[in-house]
Amino acid sequence: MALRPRAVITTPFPTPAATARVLGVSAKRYRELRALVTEALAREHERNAKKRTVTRRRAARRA
Amino acid sequence: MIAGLCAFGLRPRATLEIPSPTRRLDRILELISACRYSFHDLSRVQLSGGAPRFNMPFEVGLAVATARWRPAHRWFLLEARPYRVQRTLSDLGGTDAYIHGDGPRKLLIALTDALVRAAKQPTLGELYRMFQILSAEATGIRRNHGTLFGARAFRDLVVIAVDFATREGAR
Repeated sequence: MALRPRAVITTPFPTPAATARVLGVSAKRYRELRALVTEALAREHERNAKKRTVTRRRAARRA
Repeated sequence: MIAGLCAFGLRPRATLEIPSPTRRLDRILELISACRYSFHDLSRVQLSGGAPRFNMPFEVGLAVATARWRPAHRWFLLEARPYRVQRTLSDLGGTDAYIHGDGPRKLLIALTDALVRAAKQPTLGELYRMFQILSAEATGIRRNHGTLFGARAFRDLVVIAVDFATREGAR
C-alpha cells in the first residue's frame, strides 16, 4: 500500500520578530511589513462590517 | 504554500532567500538539514528555454538522503495530477504524492491532509483567508521588488504571513 507521510506539529508559532531576524529583514522593513498587515486586517474588518450591515438590512426588509 | 505553512505555525525557507556567494548546492543541503520538514512540488518540473528543469526531483533525492541519516526529517511530495509521480519518478514507488491540481484551494487541502497542528488545527476557511490576504499584499510586493521570485520578496511574504498567523492565533 502506498504511503503518504503526515506530520504532527507541536512547536509554538514563530514570532514575526524572530522570523524577520532569521531571514535578515531590516528593522525598518519589518516595521513597514507589520504596518501592511495591520492595514490589511483593518480593511478586511471594514469589509466584513459592511457585509454584515447589508445582510442585516436585507433580513429586516424581508421580515 | 507560504500562506498554508505559516498558518500551521511553520517558518518556510527557500534557497532564493539567501543571496550569498555560497555554492547553490551547499545552500540547498544546508537548508534541508536545518529544516524539520521539506515539501517538494514535482509539478514544477517545467521546460525552461526548451530544456526541462530537474532541480525539484534532485532536491527530493537530497531530502530522502537527509531523512536516511536524520530520521526526524520528514519530506512531502506534491503533484498537480494523481498517479503522475508513479510514471515520472517510479523510484519513489510506495510513496504517494499529495495532489493539488494546480490550484490554491486544493493545495491548502493537501496541506491539511499532510499536517496536523496539535494545539489547534487551522480550518480550510482560515487557510484560504490567509492566502487571500497574502495574495492581495503580493501585488504590492511584486511592484516593489519587480518579481515575487526573489530573496527580498520571499522574505517579505514570509514575515507578513507569520505576522498574520500570529495575530490570528492570538485571537
